[in-house]
Amino acid sequence: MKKLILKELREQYKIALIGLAILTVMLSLEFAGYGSHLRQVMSMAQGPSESFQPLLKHALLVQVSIFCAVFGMLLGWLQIRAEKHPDLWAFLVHRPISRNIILRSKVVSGFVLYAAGAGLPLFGIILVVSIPGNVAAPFTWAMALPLISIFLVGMVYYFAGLLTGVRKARWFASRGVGLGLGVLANIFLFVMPEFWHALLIIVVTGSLLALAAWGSFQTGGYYRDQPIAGKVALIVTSSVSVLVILGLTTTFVVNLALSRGEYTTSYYQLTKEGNIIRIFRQGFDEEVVDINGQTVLDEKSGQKIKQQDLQQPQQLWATTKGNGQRGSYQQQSFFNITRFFSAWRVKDQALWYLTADGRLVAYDVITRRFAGILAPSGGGDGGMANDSRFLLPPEYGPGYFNNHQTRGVLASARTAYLVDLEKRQLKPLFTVTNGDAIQGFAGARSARLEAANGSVLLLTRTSIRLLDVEGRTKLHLPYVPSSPEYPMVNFFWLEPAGFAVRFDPDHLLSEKSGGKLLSHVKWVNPDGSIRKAQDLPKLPELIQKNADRFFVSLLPPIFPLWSLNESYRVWSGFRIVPAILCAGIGWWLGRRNNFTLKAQIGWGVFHLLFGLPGFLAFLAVQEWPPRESCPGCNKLRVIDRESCEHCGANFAPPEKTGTEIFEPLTYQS
Amino acid sequence: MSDQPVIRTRGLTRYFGARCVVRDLNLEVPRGCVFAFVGRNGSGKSTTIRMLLGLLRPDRGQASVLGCDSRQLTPEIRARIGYLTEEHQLYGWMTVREAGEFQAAFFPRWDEKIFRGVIGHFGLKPEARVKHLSRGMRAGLCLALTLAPDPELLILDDPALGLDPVARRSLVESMIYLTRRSDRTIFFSSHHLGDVERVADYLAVLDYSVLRVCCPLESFRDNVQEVQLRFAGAPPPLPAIPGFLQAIRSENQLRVTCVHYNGETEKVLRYLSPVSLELVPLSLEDAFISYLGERGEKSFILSDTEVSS
Repeated sequence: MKKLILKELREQYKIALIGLAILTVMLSLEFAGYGSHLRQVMSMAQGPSESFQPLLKHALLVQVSIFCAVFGMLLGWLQIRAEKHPDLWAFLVHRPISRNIILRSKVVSGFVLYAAGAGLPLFGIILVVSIPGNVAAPFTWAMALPLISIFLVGMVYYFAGLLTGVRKARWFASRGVGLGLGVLANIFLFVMPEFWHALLIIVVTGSLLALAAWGSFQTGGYYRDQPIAGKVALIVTSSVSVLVILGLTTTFVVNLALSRGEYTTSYYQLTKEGNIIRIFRQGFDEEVVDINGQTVLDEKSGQKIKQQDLQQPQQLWATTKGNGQRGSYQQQSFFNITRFFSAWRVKDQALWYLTADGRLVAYDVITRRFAGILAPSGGGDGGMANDSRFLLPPEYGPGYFNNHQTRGVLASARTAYLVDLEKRQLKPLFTVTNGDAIQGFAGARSARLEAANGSVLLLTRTSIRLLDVEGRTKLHLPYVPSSPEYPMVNFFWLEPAGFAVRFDPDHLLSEKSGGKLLSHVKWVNPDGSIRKAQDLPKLPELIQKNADRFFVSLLPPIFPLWSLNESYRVWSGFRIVPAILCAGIGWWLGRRNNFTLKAQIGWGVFHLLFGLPGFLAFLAVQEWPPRESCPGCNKLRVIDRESCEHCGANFAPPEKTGTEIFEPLTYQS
Repeated sequence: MSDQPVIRTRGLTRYFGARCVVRDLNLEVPRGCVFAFVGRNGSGKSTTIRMLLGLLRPDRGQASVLGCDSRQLTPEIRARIGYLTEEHQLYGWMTVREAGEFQAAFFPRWDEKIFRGVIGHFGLKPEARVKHLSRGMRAGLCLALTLAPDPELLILDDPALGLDPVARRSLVESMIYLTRRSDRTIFFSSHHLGDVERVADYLAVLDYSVLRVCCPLESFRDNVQEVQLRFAGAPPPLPAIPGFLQAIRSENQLRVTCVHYNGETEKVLRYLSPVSLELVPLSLEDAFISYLGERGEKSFILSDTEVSS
């Protein structure tokens, strides 16, 4: 095995070197651009948080992801392709070792080369970023997990490459069906909440592809004669891949070609006078109606009013869902930088970050080193109690900071602070009493927001408070309906006077309640008394696009119904139609090619469960022997059976020409 | 020593697409012989060999090698089979020495003396890179790699393909040397009838995917015969002749090649009233070419217009 591993390493080291060079250049360029990017963001005093930490920069993660996929796939494919010539293949496999050992040698050396080509540069950048003074942002080792998962998913592509290289298939394109599973693993990678979820996906897809490649390697690429585990893995791999290809095709081709302008959206908006209107958009068409569904007309011209003509009131938005609760931004994906920190403000030469554990930490842009910390307790001296960390403001979520629009206000569970970065001090604005707790807050700072400028919105367990910059309460309302059902609060300044407060329900809880949690609006007089309150009627369901409907009807019937959006469930009923059709055609093909009854039934059940994707996979993996006319019954019969499936006649021996010379052979040495 | 044939096939059949390349092949190769497997290009020789080694799956029928089903050859059985491929493909980046070391790591009965002997015979330098070797040298290296494991059965797929006469002669000499050792069986395909004649005990001929001949070499030569008939004028049309292969017609002469020439054949030919009838001895190559050449009549009588032009 050692000799085989060395041989593989020797044969493929060049591709590893090329990979190493490409990725090193790619990462070096990224790192080289970091300094100028930092200066640019500092001068503009706004920008996305991810740009401060190269390890979590989305564009880089996508680039590395593409590189690892291509590199892994190419490596696997080349390892087989190099010995695809029948003579070299024979030289490889005709030796006194099992094919398992040969494949294992290839995989071991493939992993070594992959680790050298992709792993070394990635390890290098993680190491560089981890060394203080290189990156002006907080670092923890967990930030390397996205890159590690991307590196690992390249191994899934490696097996897909092996499978593509080794498989013999009638349709050339169907050799690459394994790649679909790699694409699926990649898609999942970016949306999985935790690293271990991603790891699980990688292990499952990688194992399936490895098993499929192993099965195909045993038979030199043929489906027939494969071990049952290899066959099953190949069928599952192919089915999932076909489904991914169908999905992508539907999304990118059918969607663009057939469904342009079909996308619909509908939402409520408040005018600056406090009227509620509903905007309905279908493609490029737009309709503005009032809460009763009547078209809103312009008072002066009598024409239909457009959304862009409406003047929106100034507003502040706060949520109680910014603090690590389920469904908050930090919980979305372990790729999300806000799991770790969010850039908050720029002051002098310092970049201030609000970390996920509720502290403000500063990094000097010149030295790129840690430059200070601010926390409600007055310092970051560990053992922080509930009140000794900042809550995460709503703007924390998108991971984008803007010095010009964000008020320097932060809050702990009990106290709201005005943050003075110059003096590095926290000035308490307001402290809750009687066991109440602050759950969310927002502060506005913009010359454009004349009325709202300088205001701070506080959401506590029981109340909604509007404070001025000195901490004086300008308005005080009960938080009803309250969190957690209604975690999002919009506060509007109406004209000529008064306010409106809109309470929006939690999306997940609303879905669970069957849409019973409706958005609620309260109109408030300047003195704080409630003028009016109203629930907003449930918005109509979004109209599905044809492409979506089409794709849903192609999903395998085995695909769990609960995972589909309710609005698609009617369409999902149609899934059985292509499944039955496929089962019928599959049965006919099986009969035509003389499948055994057991195989016929097995494939029939498979087609009913996996529908069109399963059927296409069936066509891709099966080998279809040619047929020739039976002299016994004149019907076409498959050539890989010992006798005719119609009349039972054996294949006739070749016709004699009278020129045959046969004599018994007995060797006597 | 077992009396079991080292290679046995029963109804072995293989298609490529709709084309049948090996049809219903029934073959038995006795132990300890040199067995030549000949046929025209595309007649199915290499396909048969690949099926024997389990590198290609037969569509019908079965094959066994050294008593083991060819689809399930174990590593132990493979260790007893040496296989020389048609195009002598090897890893180009290896040196001759590295190729030997690589192969030696897998074969428990690797004989370094044989390896050195064969590469010496072909004048190969151990430090020469495989990719820089001539075709003949590469064939020599392949042969050395195949022989050094001391296999019980040697399967050589057209080992002399593309070699110059000197290299071919070296290869044949090596094979002759090998046949004089123990009970080793050699199964080889070839287009070079001279080589076959020098070393083979038995001959099998594949004619367009069908096995038509399987006999000792002498039997083939004895069975394929040419009869020369002279006529007073133009030769008459030929009647149906049993075992007829081909006939060449000239001004007053007819040369008929057929198999199994006997009294009945002679009676049919005498019926044409020739002036003379003479059996002409054929070399193996001539017999082979006649056997596998185009069947039917050929004429060398030119028309007047063809002569004047």
